[in-house]
Amino acid sequence: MHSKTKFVKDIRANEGIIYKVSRLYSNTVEDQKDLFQEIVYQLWKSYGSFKENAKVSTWMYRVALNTAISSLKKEKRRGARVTMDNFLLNRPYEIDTLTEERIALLYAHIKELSIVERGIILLHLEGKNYDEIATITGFTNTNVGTRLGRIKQKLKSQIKNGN
Amino acid sequence: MEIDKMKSLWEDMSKKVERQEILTDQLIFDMTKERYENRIRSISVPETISALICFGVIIFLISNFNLLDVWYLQLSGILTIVACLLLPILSLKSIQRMKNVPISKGTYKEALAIYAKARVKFIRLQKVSFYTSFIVLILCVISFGKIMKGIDVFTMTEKLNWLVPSGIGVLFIFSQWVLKKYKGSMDSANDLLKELEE
Repeated sequence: MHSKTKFVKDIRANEGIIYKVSRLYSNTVEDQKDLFQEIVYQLWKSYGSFKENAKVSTWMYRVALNTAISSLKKEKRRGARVTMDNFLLNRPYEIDTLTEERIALLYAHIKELSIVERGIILLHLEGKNYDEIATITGFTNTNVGTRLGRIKQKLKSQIKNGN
Repeated sequence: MEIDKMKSLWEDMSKKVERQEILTDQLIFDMTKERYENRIRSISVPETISALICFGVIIFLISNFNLLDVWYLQLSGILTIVACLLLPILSLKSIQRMKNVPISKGTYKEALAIYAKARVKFIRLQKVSFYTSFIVLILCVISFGKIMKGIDVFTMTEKLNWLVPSGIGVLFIFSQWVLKKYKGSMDSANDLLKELEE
Protein backbone atom coordinates (compact mmCIF):
# COMPACT_ATOMS: atom_id res chain seq x y z
CA MET A 1 0.00 0.00 0.00
CA HIS A 2 1.27 3.48 -0.80
CA SER A 3 2.82 5.02 2.32
CA LYS A 4 0.67 8.17 2.25
CA THR A 5 -2.52 6.17 1.92
CA LYS A 6 -1.36 3.84 4.69
CA PHE A 7 -0.48 6.83 6.87
CA VAL A 8 -3.93 8.37 6.42
CA LYS A 9 -5.52 5.02 7.23
CA ASP A 10 -3.46 4.68 10.43
CA ILE A 11 -4.24 8.24 11.51
CA ARG A 12 -7.95 7.81 10.92
CA ALA A 13 -7.94 4.56 12.83
CA ASN A 14 -6.23 6.18 15.83
CA GLU A 15 -7.38 9.79 15.69
CA GLY A 16 -8.80 9.47 19.21
CA ILE A 17 -5.24 9.30 20.60
CA ILE A 18 -4.35 12.64 18.99
CA TYR A 19 -7.57 14.21 20.22
CA LYS A 20 -7.06 13.08 23.82
CA VAL A 21 -3.36 14.02 24.02
CA SER A 22 -3.93 17.45 22.47
CA ARG A 23 -6.79 18.18 24.84
CA LEU A 24 -4.82 17.03 27.87
CA TYR A 25 -1.81 19.22 27.10
CA SER A 26 -3.61 22.42 26.05
CA ASN A 27 -5.41 25.07 28.00
CA THR A 28 -7.35 26.71 25.19
CA VAL A 29 -9.21 25.47 22.12
CA GLU A 30 -6.76 27.41 19.91
CA ASP A 31 -3.76 25.70 21.51
CA GLN A 32 -5.55 22.37 21.24
CA LYS A 33 -6.10 22.81 17.50
CA ASP A 34 -2.50 23.84 17.08
CA LEU A 35 -1.16 20.86 19.01
CA PHE A 36 -3.51 18.50 17.17
CA GLN A 37 -2.06 19.58 13.83
CA GLU A 38 1.50 19.58 15.11
CA ILE A 39 1.06 15.97 16.23
CA VAL A 40 -0.32 14.96 12.81
CA TYR A 41 2.62 16.73 11.17
CA GLN A 42 5.20 15.07 13.47
CA LEU A 43 3.59 11.67 12.88
CA TRP A 44 3.86 12.21 9.13
CA LYS A 45 7.48 13.35 9.49
CA SER A 46 8.51 10.30 11.47
CA TYR A 47 6.32 7.83 9.57
CA GLY A 48 9.30 6.75 7.48
CA SER A 49 11.24 5.60 10.54
CA PHE A 50 8.27 3.75 12.00
CA LYS A 51 8.91 0.00 11.94
CA GLU A 52 6.04 -2.06 10.60
CA ASN A 53 6.54 -4.74 13.25
CA ALA A 54 5.93 -2.21 16.03
CA LYS A 55 2.43 -1.43 17.25
CA VAL A 56 0.99 1.67 15.52
CA SER A 57 -0.70 2.88 18.68
CA THR A 58 2.53 2.61 20.75
CA TRP A 59 4.39 4.68 18.17
CA MET A 60 1.53 7.18 18.04
CA TYR A 61 1.40 7.62 21.82
CA ARG A 62 5.14 8.22 21.91
CA VAL A 63 5.15 10.79 19.10
CA ALA A 64 2.02 12.51 20.41
CA LEU A 65 3.30 12.78 23.98
CA ASN A 66 6.77 13.95 22.91
CA THR A 67 5.23 16.54 20.58
CA ALA A 68 3.13 17.79 23.49
CA ILE A 69 6.34 18.27 25.51
CA SER A 70 8.09 20.12 22.68
CA SER A 71 5.05 22.42 22.49
CA LEU A 72 5.13 23.32 26.18
CA LYS A 73 5.62 27.04 26.82
CA LYS A 74 5.25 27.82 23.17
CA GLU A 75 2.06 29.83 23.48
CA LYS A 76 1.64 32.43 20.76
CA ARG A 77 4.34 30.69 18.73
CA ARG A 78 1.84 29.31 16.30
CA GLY A 79 2.50 28.42 12.75
CA ALA A 80 -0.09 28.54 10.00
CA ARG A 81 -2.88 26.12 10.46
CA VAL A 82 -5.48 24.36 8.38
CA THR A 83 -8.90 25.75 9.16
CA MET A 84 -10.40 23.25 11.54
CA ASP A 85 -14.04 23.32 12.29
CA ASN A 86 -14.72 23.56 16.01
CA PHE A 87 -16.89 20.54 15.37
CA LEU A 88 -13.67 18.57 15.16
CA LEU A 89 -12.63 19.40 18.68
CA ASN A 90 -16.02 19.85 20.28
CA ARG A 91 -17.18 16.45 19.28
CA PRO A 92 -20.90 15.77 18.88
CA TYR A 93 -21.19 13.43 21.86
CA GLU A 94 -20.19 16.36 24.03
CA ILE A 95 -23.38 18.17 23.11
CA ASP A 96 -24.83 16.24 26.02
CA THR A 97 -24.11 18.88 28.66
CA LEU A 98 -23.89 16.52 31.60
CA THR A 99 -21.41 14.24 29.85
CA GLU A 100 -19.34 17.20 28.70
CA GLU A 101 -19.27 18.59 32.23
CA ARG A 102 -18.08 15.29 33.62
CA ILE A 103 -15.45 14.92 30.90
CA ALA A 104 -14.28 18.49 31.47
CA LEU A 105 -14.00 17.77 35.20
CA LEU A 106 -12.03 14.62 34.46
CA TYR A 107 -9.58 16.54 32.27
CA ALA A 108 -9.34 19.30 34.90
CA HIS A 109 -8.35 16.78 37.57
CA ILE A 110 -5.69 15.22 35.34
CA LYS A 111 -4.35 18.63 34.32
CA GLU A 112 -3.68 19.39 37.99
CA LEU A 113 -1.08 16.60 37.99
CA SER A 114 2.54 17.18 36.97
CA ILE A 115 3.59 16.70 33.34
CA VAL A 116 5.27 13.39 34.20
CA GLU A 117 2.16 12.10 35.97
CA ARG A 118 -0.17 13.33 33.25
CA GLY A 119 1.44 11.08 30.64
CA ILE A 120 1.37 8.03 32.90
CA ILE A 121 -2.27 8.39 33.94
CA LEU A 122 -3.31 8.98 30.34
CA LEU A 123 -1.76 5.66 29.31
CA HIS A 124 -3.30 3.95 32.32
CA LEU A 125 -6.76 5.28 31.48
CA GLU A 126 -6.19 4.14 27.91
CA GLY A 127 -5.99 0.62 29.28
CA LYS A 128 -2.24 0.13 28.83
CA ASN A 129 -0.53 -2.34 31.16
CA TYR A 130 2.69 -1.62 33.09
CA ASP A 131 4.85 -3.11 30.31
CA GLU A 132 3.31 -0.92 27.63
CA ILE A 133 3.46 2.19 29.82
CA ALA A 134 7.12 1.42 30.56
CA THR A 135 7.89 1.00 26.83
CA ILE A 136 6.28 4.31 25.91
CA THR A 137 7.51 6.37 28.85
CA GLY A 138 10.96 4.90 29.50
CA PHE A 139 10.33 4.33 33.22
CA THR A 140 10.82 0.84 34.64
CA ASN A 141 7.78 -1.37 35.34
CA THR A 142 8.28 -1.02 39.10
CA ASN A 143 8.62 2.73 38.78
CA VAL A 144 5.42 2.92 36.74
CA GLY A 145 3.63 0.98 39.47
CA THR A 146 4.95 3.24 42.23
CA ARG A 147 4.07 6.38 40.30
CA LEU A 148 0.59 5.13 39.44
CA GLY A 149 -0.08 4.39 43.10
CA ARG A 150 0.94 7.94 43.99
CA ILE A 151 -1.10 9.45 41.16
CA LYS A 152 -4.22 7.58 42.26
CA GLN A 153 -3.75 8.89 45.79
CA LYS A 154 -3.36 12.41 44.48
CA LEU A 155 -6.46 12.14 42.31
CA LYS A 156 -8.41 10.68 45.19
CA SER A 157 -7.58 13.62 47.43
CA GLN A 158 -8.23 16.09 44.57
CA ILE A 159 -11.65 14.58 43.97
CA LYS A 160 -12.39 14.53 47.70
CA ASN A 161 -11.44 18.19 48.09
CA GLY A 162 -13.16 19.23 44.87
CA ASN A 163 -16.52 17.56 45.40
CA MET B 1 -16.20 11.15 40.97
CA GLU B 2 -14.39 7.98 42.04
CA ILE B 3 -11.25 6.70 40.29
CA ASP B 4 -13.17 3.70 38.91
CA LYS B 5 -15.87 6.00 37.58
CA MET B 6 -13.15 8.13 36.07
CA LYS B 7 -11.80 5.16 34.19
CA SER B 8 -15.20 4.05 32.93
CA LEU B 9 -16.03 7.61 31.82
CA TRP B 10 -12.71 7.75 29.95
CA GLU B 11 -13.39 4.39 28.29
CA ASP B 12 -16.86 5.53 27.33
CA MET B 13 -15.49 8.74 25.82
CA SER B 14 -12.76 6.83 23.96
CA LYS B 15 -15.26 4.44 22.38
CA LYS B 16 -17.36 7.34 21.12
CA VAL B 17 -14.32 9.22 19.78
CA GLU B 18 -13.14 6.13 17.92
CA ARG B 19 -16.57 5.52 16.40
CA GLN B 20 -16.88 9.01 14.99
CA GLU B 21 -13.93 9.17 12.59
CA ILE B 22 -14.26 12.87 11.85
CA LEU B 23 -10.90 13.38 10.16
CA THR B 24 -11.10 13.15 6.39
CA ASP B 25 -8.27 12.07 4.10
CA GLN B 26 -8.12 15.57 2.66
CA LEU B 27 -7.91 17.19 6.09
CA ILE B 28 -4.96 14.97 7.03
CA PHE B 29 -3.19 15.76 3.73
CA ASP B 30 -3.78 19.47 4.29
CA MET B 31 -2.47 19.34 7.86
CA THR B 32 0.86 17.79 6.85
CA LYS B 33 1.23 20.04 3.79
CA GLU B 34 0.27 23.36 5.41
CA ARG B 35 2.42 22.68 8.45
CA TYR B 36 5.44 21.88 6.30
CA GLU B 37 5.07 24.81 3.96
CA ASN B 38 4.59 27.32 6.76
CA ARG B 39 7.17 26.01 9.18
CA ILE B 40 9.19 29.21 8.98
CA ARG B 41 6.24 31.30 10.16
CA SER B 42 6.28 29.60 13.54
CA ILE B 43 9.36 31.61 14.59
CA SER B 44 8.04 33.98 17.19
CA VAL B 45 7.51 37.64 16.34
CA PRO B 46 9.24 39.19 19.42
CA GLU B 47 12.46 37.23 18.83
CA THR B 48 12.52 38.15 15.15
CA ILE B 49 11.88 41.84 15.87
CA SER B 50 14.60 41.88 18.57
CA ALA B 51 17.09 40.24 16.21
CA LEU B 52 16.26 42.74 13.44
CA ILE B 53 16.71 45.69 15.82
CA CYS B 54 20.07 44.32 16.94
CA PHE B 55 21.28 43.85 13.37
CA GLY B 56 20.03 47.36 12.51
CA VAL B 57 22.08 48.76 15.40
CA ILE B 58 25.17 46.86 14.19
CA ILE B 59 24.84 48.24 10.63
CA PHE B 60 24.29 51.78 11.94
CA LEU B 61 27.31 51.63 14.25
CA ILE B 62 29.63 50.11 11.66
CA SER B 63 28.68 52.68 9.01
CA ASN B 64 29.22 55.58 11.45
CA PHE B 65 32.14 54.17 13.38
CA ASN B 66 34.51 56.92 12.13
CA LEU B 67 32.48 59.48 14.18
CA LEU B 68 33.53 57.79 17.42
CA ASP B 69 36.80 59.67 17.76
CA VAL B 70 37.95 58.91 21.32
CA TRP B 71 39.16 55.47 22.48
CA TYR B 72 36.40 54.98 25.12
CA LEU B 73 33.70 55.89 22.58
CA GLN B 74 35.22 53.41 20.14
CA LEU B 75 35.31 50.78 22.88
CA SER B 76 31.59 51.44 23.62
CA GLY B 77 30.83 51.01 19.92
CA ILE B 78 32.75 47.74 19.65
CA LEU B 79 31.16 46.29 22.80
CA THR B 80 27.68 47.25 21.55
CA ILE B 81 28.34 45.55 18.21
CA VAL B 82 29.60 42.36 19.91
CA ALA B 83 26.63 42.23 22.31
CA CYS B 84 24.08 42.93 19.56
CA LEU B 85 25.58 40.13 17.50
CA LEU B 86 25.92 37.52 20.24
CA LEU B 87 22.74 37.97 22.28
CA PRO B 88 20.18 37.21 19.53
CA ILE B 89 22.22 34.28 18.23
CA LEU B 90 22.57 32.73 21.70
CA SER B 91 18.92 33.33 22.47
CA LEU B 92 17.67 31.76 19.21
CA LYS B 93 20.05 28.80 19.66
CA SER B 94 18.80 28.29 23.18
CA ILE B 95 15.17 28.28 22.05
CA GLN B 96 16.07 25.85 19.30
CA ARG B 97 17.61 23.51 21.90
CA MET B 98 14.32 23.46 23.80
CA LYS B 99 12.49 22.49 20.62
CA ASN B 100 14.94 19.66 19.89
CA VAL B 101 13.03 17.08 21.86
CA PRO B 102 13.53 13.61 20.32
CA ILE B 103 9.98 13.21 19.10
CA SER B 104 9.95 9.86 17.35
CA LYS B 105 12.95 8.07 18.85
CA GLY B 106 13.07 9.07 22.50
CA THR B 107 10.81 7.96 25.31
CA TYR B 108 8.57 10.32 27.29
CA LYS B 109 11.14 10.34 30.12
CA GLU B 110 14.02 11.21 27.78
CA ALA B 111 12.01 13.92 26.04
CA LEU B 112 11.05 15.48 29.38
CA ALA B 113 14.65 15.39 30.66
CA ILE B 114 15.96 17.06 27.49
CA TYR B 115 13.21 19.68 27.63
CA ALA B 116 13.79 20.45 31.33
CA LYS B 117 17.60 20.72 30.96
CA ALA B 118 17.26 22.97 27.91
CA ARG B 119 14.76 25.09 29.83
CA VAL B 120 17.16 25.53 32.76
CA LYS B 121 19.89 26.65 30.32
CA PHE B 122 17.44 28.98 28.56
CA ILE B 123 16.42 30.68 31.83
CA ARG B 124 20.08 31.10 32.82
CA LEU B 125 20.79 32.73 29.47
CA GLN B 126 17.72 34.96 29.88
CA LYS B 127 19.08 36.14 33.23
CA VAL B 128 22.49 36.94 31.74
CA SER B 129 20.82 38.65 28.77
CA PHE B 130 18.70 40.73 31.11
CA TYR B 131 21.73 42.26 32.85
CA THR B 132 23.73 42.51 29.63
CA SER B 133 20.87 44.41 28.00
CA PHE B 134 21.19 47.17 30.58
CA ILE B 135 24.90 47.49 29.87
CA VAL B 136 24.17 47.50 26.12
CA LEU B 137 21.56 50.20 26.66
CA ILE B 138 24.12 52.41 28.41
CA LEU B 139 26.70 51.68 25.69
CA CYS B 140 24.11 52.56 23.03
CA VAL B 141 23.38 55.91 24.71
CA ILE B 142 27.12 56.68 24.72
CA SER B 143 27.70 55.66 21.06
CA PHE B 144 24.42 57.04 19.64
CA GLY B 145 24.82 60.31 21.58
CA LYS B 146 28.11 60.93 19.87
CA ILE B 147 27.05 59.76 16.38
CA MET B 148 23.64 61.48 16.24
CA LYS B 149 24.16 64.61 18.38
CA GLY B 150 27.94 64.90 18.67
CA ILE B 151 27.70 64.63 22.48
CA ASP B 152 30.39 62.96 24.57
CA VAL B 153 28.37 61.69 27.56
CA PHE B 154 31.48 61.37 29.72
CA THR B 155 31.99 65.15 29.67
CA MET B 156 28.45 65.86 30.97
CA THR B 157 29.33 65.35 34.65
CA GLU B 158 26.35 67.30 36.03
CA LYS B 159 23.78 65.16 34.24
CA LEU B 160 25.71 61.98 35.04
CA ASN B 161 25.37 62.78 38.75
CA TRP B 162 21.63 62.13 38.67
CA LEU B 163 21.38 59.89 35.61
CA VAL B 164 23.61 57.11 37.01
CA PRO B 165 21.90 56.76 40.46
CA SER B 166 18.39 56.90 38.98
CA GLY B 167 19.39 54.33 36.32
CA ILE B 168 20.67 52.00 39.03
CA GLY B 169 17.41 52.51 40.96
CA VAL B 170 15.27 51.58 37.96
CA LEU B 171 17.48 48.56 37.27
CA PHE B 172 17.13 47.37 40.88
CA ILE B 173 13.33 47.62 40.94
CA PHE B 174 12.93 46.03 37.51
CA SER B 175 15.40 43.24 38.26
CA GLN B 176 13.51 42.23 41.43
CA TRP B 177 10.38 41.71 39.37
CA VAL B 178 12.18 39.87 36.57
CA LEU B 179 14.18 37.63 38.91
CA LYS B 180 11.01 36.61 40.71
CA LYS B 181 9.52 35.61 37.38
CA TYR B 182 12.63 33.62 36.39
CA LYS B 183 12.81 31.94 39.78
CA GLY B 184 9.33 30.45 39.27
CA SER B 185 10.26 29.05 35.84
CA MET B 186 13.61 27.76 37.09
CA ASP B 187 12.02 26.06 40.10
CA SER B 188 9.44 24.29 37.95
CA ALA B 189 12.12 23.04 35.51
CA ASN B 190 14.27 21.80 38.41
CA ASP B 191 11.25 20.16 40.05
CA LEU B 192 10.58 18.32 36.80
CA LEU B 193 14.18 17.04 36.70
CA LYS B 194 13.93 15.91 40.35
CA GLU B 195 10.64 14.16 39.68
CA LEU B 196 12.18 12.25 36.77
CA GLU B 197 14.98 10.99 39.01
CA GLU B 198 12.60 9.66 41.70
